[in-house]
Amino acid sequence: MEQLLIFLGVILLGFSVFYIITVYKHEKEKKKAPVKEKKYEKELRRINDEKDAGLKSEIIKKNRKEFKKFLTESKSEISGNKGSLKRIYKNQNFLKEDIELLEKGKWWEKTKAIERLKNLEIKEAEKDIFNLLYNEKLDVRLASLDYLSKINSPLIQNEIKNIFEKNSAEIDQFLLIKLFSANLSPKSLKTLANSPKPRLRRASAILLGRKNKKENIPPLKKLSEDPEPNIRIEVVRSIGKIGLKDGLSILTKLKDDEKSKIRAEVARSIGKIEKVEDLSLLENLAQDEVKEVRLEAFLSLAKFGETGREIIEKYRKDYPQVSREAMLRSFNPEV
Amino acid sequence: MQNILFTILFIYSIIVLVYFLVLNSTYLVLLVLSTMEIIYQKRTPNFKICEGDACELAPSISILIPAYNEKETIIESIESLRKLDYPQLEIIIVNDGSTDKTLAALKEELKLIKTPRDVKDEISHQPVKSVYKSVLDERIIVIDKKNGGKADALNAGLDFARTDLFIAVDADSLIEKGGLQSLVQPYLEKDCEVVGIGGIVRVANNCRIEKGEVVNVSLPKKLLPIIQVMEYLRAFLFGRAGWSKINALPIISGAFGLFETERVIEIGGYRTDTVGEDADLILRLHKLMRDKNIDYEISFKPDPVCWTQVPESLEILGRQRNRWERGLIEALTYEPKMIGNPKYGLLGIFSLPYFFFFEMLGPVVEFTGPFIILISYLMGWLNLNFALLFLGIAVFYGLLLSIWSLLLEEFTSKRYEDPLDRIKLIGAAILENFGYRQLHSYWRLKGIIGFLRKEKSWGEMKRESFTRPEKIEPPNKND
Repeated sequence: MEQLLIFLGVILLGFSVFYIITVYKHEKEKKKAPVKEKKYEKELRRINDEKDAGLKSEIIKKNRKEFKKFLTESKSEISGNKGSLKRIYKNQNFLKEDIELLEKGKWWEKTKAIERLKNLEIKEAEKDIFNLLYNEKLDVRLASLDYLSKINSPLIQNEIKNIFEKNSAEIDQFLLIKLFSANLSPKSLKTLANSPKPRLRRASAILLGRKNKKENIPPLKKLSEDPEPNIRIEVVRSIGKIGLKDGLSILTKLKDDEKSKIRAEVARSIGKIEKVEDLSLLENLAQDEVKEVRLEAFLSLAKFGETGREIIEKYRKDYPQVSREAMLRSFNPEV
Repeated sequence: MQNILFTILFIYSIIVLVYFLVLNSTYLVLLVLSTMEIIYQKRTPNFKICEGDACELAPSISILIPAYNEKETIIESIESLRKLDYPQLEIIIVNDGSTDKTLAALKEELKLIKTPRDVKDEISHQPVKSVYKSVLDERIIVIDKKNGGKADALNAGLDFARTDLFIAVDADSLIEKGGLQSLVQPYLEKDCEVVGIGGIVRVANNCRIEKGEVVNVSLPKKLLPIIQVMEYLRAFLFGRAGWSKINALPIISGAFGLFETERVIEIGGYRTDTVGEDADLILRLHKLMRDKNIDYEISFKPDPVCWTQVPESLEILGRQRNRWERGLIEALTYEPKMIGNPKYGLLGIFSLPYFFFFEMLGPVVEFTGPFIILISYLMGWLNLNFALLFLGIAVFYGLLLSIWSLLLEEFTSKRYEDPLDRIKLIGAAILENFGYRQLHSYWRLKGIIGFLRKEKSWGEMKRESFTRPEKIEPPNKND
């Protein structure tokens, strides 16, 4: 028992010393941080001004890891000029180091390297990172996709179907968010849209919903006939996001959909389309048997100024609460 | 007679010894697991959830705020929530039949109008009188309903929510900026269905709060809340991180937990006949997913922070801990078949038995211990040297865990910048062994007795405003 107490006492002492050293180190680092950042900033400027990004620097040599972090975390005042940072990053051999890590590093070293390269939008590592898109470790796969989307890599245009098929449905939302930023062409989404798998067709319906992309409307038209309601609803949402009158014919077709959620979404999407002159479609939906559809129709009518208000007023007695809310919204569009 | 007493005390001391050994071995395992989890979390990339138009695809979140007589804190709480920079957000305040002027304050400050939106009637709850919408901020909905308690109010909010996820927050809690983005990450980035995610709850007493945001973190001035800071650090960084590593997390704090709306509706929402609705919800979610054989996770994330006020008086703290104990017992006794059941994986065979024997029944051993020692001493059966050594080991071990938690804090979301605060925390970790722990066991023992007496009361909790709220302005177009 006594020995156990002594043993625990020694461990406790060890932990306490370790804790004190950690706190001391952190405090020291915290105090030194502004001085160091100033020093790195000065060095960065010197290298940049001398137009010799490959200049041998004792400061960089001694503090390689910290300087690399400083460069990629956009702490520098010249971070607005990504071109300069990229040039320095490459010429100081940081890029080479990162590419080596992508090949041989541990999974977390790979993701950190990808993150750095993404922050500086360095495209030279594109192929190496593309090779990691199907890595066994999910974090590496996600980091790779994040990078490729950020630099808008053409390499992923033909990979969309594989990306979905080689990952589980649980991370679809992540994939969709990242791929949405990657400006995919309708052609690259064709294989998804034609897939027998509803999950992939739904993904294509979502990814086609990009603002002002008129060329995305024809593939959405085909998807609007899909037997799956959760695909049709995404088609309607995407038409709203595109926001062009060309999509109205699809919405007109879906305004009588058997699912009230889709009809409500049609009403909402019309409100997002610019310069709609004929509001009969919304007026029609404003009399729908389902309250939710009527509400969305009224709220969309509120977005069309005087013409919309006239229709709201027309149904004020039938639907007093919803018309009140719509009127308020109409006069306070920013709300 | 003496022989019988001696036999009883002998058996009791053996039980205590076994209890002590198993408990501390579990702590040791948790220590390793939590460290592994924290290291993993540190290594995991921190993706920005979305940028630009892609934010429309981010998972939508409803924030549910049950409010019963909260006129002092509710406006300030909403003001803070409105500042959260999450793209797809809905704030649902449920006025649970307040008898003060909570609804009037909401109407005035938020410029509420009645809206024809309905609750979905998918979960049972007390009748809803009206649903309001704010003219100032279209994300805000107020549901006015008949009083039914916190869980019932949450159910009404849940019945209205149309989002992928929801989070229930107390009116006296503040979610840190960026907290939701961080909390939602496991939902997006895990290769399985994530049904619940818990963040870390920290103590806001004595922190400087401006316009609903914590701008300066410092330790409370009084010893009692400082001890609670230490308790929270241990519970979250050491306990929850450890259980989360093996997907056996049985509790997510009711003050800061994000859940999949659909799954919670599937299990019928919160149970209304318990004071531990948060623990009960997690157990039922685990049960649902395991029974359905779905690959899932209930995660803990150590960086998103929710700040909360903790009790500064013994009386209120006692009531809180009494309620927590009753809540835990209720949750465990509602689902007794899960305890020790291998069907529920490590949760069933490791985590729940731990909570049953050590968290639930622990106070019995801890509270009766000193009396048994006293009796043994008076009867001349106590080896004083052994008892002191035993006490020393218990204190040392407790301290070791506290220092380890502080170390984990140093490597994660370190918030206490002042070195003096860290020294105070170590001081609190030492001092809590002498008086506070015994008192804590007493409160929890009272909780056990309360449970046996079928007590269901929450006990009055005094809530104070963080700061004086400012008038709510319409959202800035550039926001």
